[in-house]
Amino acid sequence: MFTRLKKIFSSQDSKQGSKPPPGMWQVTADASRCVQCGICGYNCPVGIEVREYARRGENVTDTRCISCGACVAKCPRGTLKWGPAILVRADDTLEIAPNDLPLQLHLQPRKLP
Amino acid sequence: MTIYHYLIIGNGAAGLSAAEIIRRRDPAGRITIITSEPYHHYSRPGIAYYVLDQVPERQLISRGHAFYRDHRFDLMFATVSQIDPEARLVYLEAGQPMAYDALLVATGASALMPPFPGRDLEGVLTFDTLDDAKRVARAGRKAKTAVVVGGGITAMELAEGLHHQGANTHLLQRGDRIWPRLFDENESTIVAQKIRQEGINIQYHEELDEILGKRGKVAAVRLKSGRTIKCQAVGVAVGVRPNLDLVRDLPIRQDRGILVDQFMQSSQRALFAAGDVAQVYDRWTGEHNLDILWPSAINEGRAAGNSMVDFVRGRQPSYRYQKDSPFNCALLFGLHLTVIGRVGSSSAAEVEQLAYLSRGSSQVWTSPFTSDYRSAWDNKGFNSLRVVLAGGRLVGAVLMGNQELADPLRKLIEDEVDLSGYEPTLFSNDTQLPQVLLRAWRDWHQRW
Repeated sequence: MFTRLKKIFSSQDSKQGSKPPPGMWQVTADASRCVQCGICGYNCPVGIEVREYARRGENVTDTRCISCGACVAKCPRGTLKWGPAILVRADDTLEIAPNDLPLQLHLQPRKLP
Repeated sequence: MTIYHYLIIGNGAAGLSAAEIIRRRDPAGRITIITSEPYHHYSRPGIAYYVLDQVPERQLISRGHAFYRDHRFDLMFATVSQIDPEARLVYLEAGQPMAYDALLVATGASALMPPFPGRDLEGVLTFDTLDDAKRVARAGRKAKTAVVVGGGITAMELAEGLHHQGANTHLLQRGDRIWPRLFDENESTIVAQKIRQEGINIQYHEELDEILGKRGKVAAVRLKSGRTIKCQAVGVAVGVRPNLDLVRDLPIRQDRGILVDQFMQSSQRALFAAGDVAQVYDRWTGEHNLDILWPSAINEGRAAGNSMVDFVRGRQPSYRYQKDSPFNCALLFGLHLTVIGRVGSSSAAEVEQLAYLSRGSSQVWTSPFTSDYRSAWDNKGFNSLRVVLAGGRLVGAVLMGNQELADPLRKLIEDEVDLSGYEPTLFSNDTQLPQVLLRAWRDWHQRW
């Protein structure tokens, strides 16, 4: 547990991580590039199994994601990239976030499905 | 209701994606997967990263026991000795023969071992499976010096892995450049520079003649030039060959792989093939081609799964497999590489017409062009870009280093976009190729 916490803080300012540009971004995946090697999940400081998203070509929508970019930086095949976030509207429909969305929105709590 | 038995030989990308599709379409069917390896499904391309210590074995296994249980796949760790397509029976090396309603052969491909004297010595390595990767890692740790033979991605991965594990590594090249079938001179120079930076020695115009042993272990290699190199490990990656042992004597149409139609069905109606072992009709060249590629294996497996369900129900096959333009990307010595579509073989490459494909490549990439083609290239430092146009359309590209254009180019190639309007600027000497291509992509993208 403690090492895991330390890993979070170290990855915050680590040079390895790939920082997203300002705005609302999520890790996106290109399924056709993925070979399921699992390096992404292995390097994830909070233990998200990123490759399950990559297999389906979905955004990493896990709420535990701290946007550290470790998976983006470590992916050997360019599968993972920063892309516009997918937002869940109140009525459970999906919406792609515009790039210039203010950052505060990201911090507002929302009910999870 | 009849319960059908689907039998799948091979637990790789093709076999498992077929099984998933079958389960989705036939919840009641019995699905058996037979593997000769002692593991659940793992990422075969990932073994290169395992040897580089970037990912542990546990993480490499992407589908564990729970997945097989939840999908009710019977995984058998066994070896198939014989197929009887007339009686629809599969014989195992131990135990009862198994009857099937539809059979998928997804046995993959394995490394080719040329008849070097001394090829059976301990320390001669190939790079196909997780067990091989473990052997490579162990050999790299123990050996002082290692020699790797071959062009292609696998040879480079082997050299990188052995070097990473601590062996002083020599990479032997038959010609005067790296991977001459695919790379042009400029690209080969970039990769060679990276390899040298890493600390690996490249020996050009050298071929392995004999592996010398001492007490059953590799002690040295003798080269055709007469030189000998003392070494404790020899990596061989000169190409792969589809695993056809099970079907070779069966009355099935086969060439270098099992010939299948666009429904992945072979000439034996209940027998399907997918993945490295299948030679699939290709709309880009109009021939049957082999692909030793991960994404192709997945797509072929899905198509085969669909056709198998249709077949056992006595229906017309519904899912036509459309071969994509073959595509692969790799990270070699810290350099990103993407190859898309048909990139042709230059004249120097024809000298080295090896009949075998290396893992991670496609027969389509280097198939000769029947019509006129032109290529344009640009490079800056470690970044290089080469595009091939035939009849005004973009048909292939090789990208090294900067990968910004990889997705746009792939889209342009797959949709066969007409770029003849840009041709004068593409081939003039004073324009920047990436910018022209980016503009072409934006123009085309906006139209939709």
